[in-house]
Amino acid sequence: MTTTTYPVVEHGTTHGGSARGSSRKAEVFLVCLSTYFSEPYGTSGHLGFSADWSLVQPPSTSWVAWRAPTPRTVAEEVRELRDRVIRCTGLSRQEIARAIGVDRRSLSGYVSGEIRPTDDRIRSLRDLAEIAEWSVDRFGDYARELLRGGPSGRSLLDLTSDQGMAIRRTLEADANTRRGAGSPTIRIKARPTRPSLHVRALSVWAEESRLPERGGTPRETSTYEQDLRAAPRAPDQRERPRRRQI
Amino acid sequence: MTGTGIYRPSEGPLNQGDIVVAPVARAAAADFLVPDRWDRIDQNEHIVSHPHTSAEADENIFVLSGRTLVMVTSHDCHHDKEWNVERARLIRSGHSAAEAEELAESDPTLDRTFQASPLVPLSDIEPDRRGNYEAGRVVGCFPLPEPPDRSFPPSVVDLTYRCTIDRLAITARRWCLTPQARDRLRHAIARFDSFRSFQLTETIEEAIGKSIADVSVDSTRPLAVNLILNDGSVLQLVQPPTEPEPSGRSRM
Repeated sequence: MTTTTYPVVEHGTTHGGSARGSSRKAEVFLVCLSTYFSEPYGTSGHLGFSADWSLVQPPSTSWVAWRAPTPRTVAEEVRELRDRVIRCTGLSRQEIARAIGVDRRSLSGYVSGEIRPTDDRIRSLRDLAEIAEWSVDRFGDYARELLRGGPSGRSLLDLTSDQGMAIRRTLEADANTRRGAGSPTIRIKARPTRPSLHVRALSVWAEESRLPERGGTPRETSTYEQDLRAAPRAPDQRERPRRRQI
Repeated sequence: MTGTGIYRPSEGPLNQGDIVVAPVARAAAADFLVPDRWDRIDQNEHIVSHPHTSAEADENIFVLSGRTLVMVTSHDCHHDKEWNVERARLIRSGHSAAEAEELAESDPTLDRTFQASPLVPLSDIEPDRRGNYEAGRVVGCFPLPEPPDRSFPPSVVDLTYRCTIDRLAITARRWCLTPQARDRLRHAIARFDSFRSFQLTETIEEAIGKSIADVSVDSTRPLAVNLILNDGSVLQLVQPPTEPEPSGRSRM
C-alpha cells in the first residue's frame, strides 16, 4: 500500500472520531485502493477508521480521504427506529443491538453518527421496529416477552434474521402456546379506514328502505332451471329438525 | 353515465341486482394486507386462534370484515331455491300451501344465502384508470352511476370480492337494477367467471341461419379468410399458422 499526505479539507461539523481540526493531515490513498473503497461502508471495525470518512477525487490522479459530515438522515433514522422499539416494547438497547446483529457500542455509534450502518443493518432495524409495533398491537403486554424468545425456543436475534411473515407466524405460535389449551379465542381490532359507503346510504334511505321478506318467497316455477314437479317426494315432516328462531 | 334507465326501487323478494347494506368478510393472511380499493370495506381485523393448533400458527384464521353497500349477484333461481323445492314437495304430499310454507320455513337445513359483491367508489380508483372502469372495460368490475337519490357516488361493483351472505343479515335495501341493466350485470359476471372474451361466441351466433355469398382473401393477411354472408356482413376466419411440411410447403 503506497500512501502520501495531502492537506485535509475540513467539511462542516464533525461528530467525534479521531481526526479533527482544519490543519490536520489526512492519508491519501492512490488509485490502486479505489476498488477497495468502492464497496459499501461497513462498521468502523471493517475499515479500521470511522465511517464518516468518504472518498473524493481531486484534480490529480490520487484519491483523497476526506472527512465529510455524516448524512443526518441516517443517524436520525436509526435513533428514531431505536426509540420506536423501546417505546413499544421496553426492550433494552442491548437487546435491540443484539437483534440486529451488532453490539451495543455499535448501535450507539450509529445513533451518534460516528459509525455509518450498512444497508442490511438499517433494514434489520426497520424490520425490528415494524415487528415490535405489530407485536404490541397484536399481543399487548405479551409483546416484550415474546420478542425475547417464546416457547418455540427462537430468540429475538433469530426472529429478526427472518423476514415479515415468518416472524409474525412464529410469534403467533408462541402466543398460542402461552395461552394454553382452552376454547378458541377471537380478537377483533378496528382498522382506521375511509368512511364506508353504507353510512350515507342509510341516512338517505331512512324512510325508503325496503327489506326483502324474512321468510322464503314462492317463486314462479319458470324462475328455476329445474322442474320442481319432478323433485323426489319430501320425507315425513316429523323427521326434520325445526329452524332456530332468530 | 347517468342513473336513468339503470335503477328502479327495490321491492318484493331478493333479486339479482338489488343494492343492499350487509356485512361482508374475507379470509386474509397474518399481515392483513388490504388492497387500497377495499380500504372502506375491510373495517375490522379478526384473528381466530385455536389452542390445539399452537404448534403451527398457520392454522390461525385471519378475517377482514365490514359492513357496506353490496350488489346481489346470485341469479334469481338461486334465491329460496331449496325453500321452493321443499314447499313444492310438501304441497304434492298433501299439505296446503300455507302449511307447506310454514314447514319449509322451520327447516334449518334449507339454504337462505345469496352472493354479493361490494361497491367501490370510482374516486378510490387511480385517476388515470378511472375511465376504463367507468366504461366497463375492466374485467371483474361492473360500473354503476350515481342513483337518483345520490345515496352513493358513482361506483363499480367489484366482482373480484364475492361474499356469501345470509338473507337475514341485510339491514337496508333501496335500489335495484332495471331488467336492461341487469342483463349487463349478467354479461359482466359471465365475462369475469368464464368467458374473458365471448365476442367470438356472439359473432358466430349472429351468423347462424345466413348463407355464404362470397369468399375473399386479404393479400396483406394471408391467414385471414373473409366469408361474405348473404346479408352483406363479413365473417372473418383466421387460420392457425402451421409448421411447414418436410417438402418445404406448408399446408393450407
